[in-house]
Amino acid sequence: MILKKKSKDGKKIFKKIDFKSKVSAAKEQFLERLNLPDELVYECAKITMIGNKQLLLEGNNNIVDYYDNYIKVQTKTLYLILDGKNLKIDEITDTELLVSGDISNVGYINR
Amino acid sequence: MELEEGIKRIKGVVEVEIQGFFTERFINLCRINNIKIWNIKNVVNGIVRFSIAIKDFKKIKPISKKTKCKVKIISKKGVYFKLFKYRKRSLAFILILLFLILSTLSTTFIWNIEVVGNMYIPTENIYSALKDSGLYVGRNKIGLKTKKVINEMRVELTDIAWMGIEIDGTHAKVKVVEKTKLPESAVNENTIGDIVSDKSGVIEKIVVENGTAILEAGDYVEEGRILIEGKIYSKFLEPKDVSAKGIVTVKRQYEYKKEYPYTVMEKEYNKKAKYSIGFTLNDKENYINYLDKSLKYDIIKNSKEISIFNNKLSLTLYRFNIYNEKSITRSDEEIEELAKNEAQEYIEKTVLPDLRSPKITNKELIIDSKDEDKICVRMVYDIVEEIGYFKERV
Repeated sequence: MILKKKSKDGKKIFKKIDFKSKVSAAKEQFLERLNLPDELVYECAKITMIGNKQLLLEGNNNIVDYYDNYIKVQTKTLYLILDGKNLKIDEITDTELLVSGDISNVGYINR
Repeated sequence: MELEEGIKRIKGVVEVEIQGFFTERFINLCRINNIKIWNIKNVVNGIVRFSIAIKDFKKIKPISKKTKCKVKIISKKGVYFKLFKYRKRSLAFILILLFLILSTLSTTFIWNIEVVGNMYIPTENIYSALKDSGLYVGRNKIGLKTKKVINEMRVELTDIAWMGIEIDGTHAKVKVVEKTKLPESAVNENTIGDIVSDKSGVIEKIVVENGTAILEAGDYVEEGRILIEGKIYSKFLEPKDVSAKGIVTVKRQYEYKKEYPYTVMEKEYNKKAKYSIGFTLNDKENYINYLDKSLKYDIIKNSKEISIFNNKLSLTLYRFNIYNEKSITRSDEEIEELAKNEAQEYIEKTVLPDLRSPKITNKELIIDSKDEDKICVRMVYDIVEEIGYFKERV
């Protein structure tokens, strides 16, 4: 009985420490030291825009909604929302998404 | 980008329309299953069009079942579909194949031979010698040994010092270097002979380097007479034969004579011009003639020549300048001025280049006759020039 109690206490202590966040913080620090690209360190999408005509999204991403004037894309950490006119997906591959058209707004929503 | 599109076109591209509630899911599944789709366009809500390569088209079927989308083919583009359409026309395929075979075969022949670098050997002689030694238009490149041809050529044409054959595609370039001949003066130095005049005139100056001068300055000399004899006379010794050498200058008169009418027709150009195209095959001209015959034209040609199988074919662009004729009356002074200019041009361009170290000493304008409607003008030039050539004594 005493042993069982001890183990429960251990779990409680483990939860209090918030081990996960500490590990991720340490990981980020370590990767920053290595001078790696930021999109790898923070595990997020990279966006390249040419005026408001073209947008290139790099990183693993899923299309959630696709209409003529609205595109919602799920990236690793956030939702990306594009508004505009005549939006067209020129190319879609495993890691890249190329959108063209008159883009009027680029926004983020938390997942 | 365009190149990539072209390669895709050759392989075959299908434009597809999908209709359903989960079009986004369809696109995501295509991405996950490594099916490449592009030019994705939302036509209306729930209808999406995109392009897909023909080899990936069959992979769509399970996805469409999963997402409950209807798939409809809108257009097929590419060489693959064209070939499929005409698959039963075997003759066309045979002809295409024959054409390919013939065009590849024809590149193994020599269609043009160019000879470069010959100064005194006639090009025709080189062509005929090349034909004898095995290089001619229409010869197959395979099995042609250029070294053998060069050796045979050098035996046949002894004046060739070096020869090279460069075969570039269907074009053979023959480079020739000739043996340099000894200059004439070097040949003359040891042979006994005289200097003989080749033109008549009054002697201006005679300078002897070797030999004895027979004539003096101021004498009139005829054509073919000895100027400097190749002999040296001495009081004490017997006459000695030498090679004559020296400079003889002579004064000669050259004339320019022309009749000038007082009234002339002069061209008055409109700014209008007409254009036409045509081709010339072996000096026979063909062009599109749509001109008005009542008008008069000056023709300006601008042509580019190519040679095929030793036939000359040239493509020409014609320009026709339209002009009207207008009569003009000229005065005596104007005609004299014109005659002076024309005579000067004639002397400078046609007479002087043929003479040896010429020098114009005097020029004079003489009016021969004068009529009501025309005038005859003569321009006389006194020119001092060098004459005489070396003639070997027999």
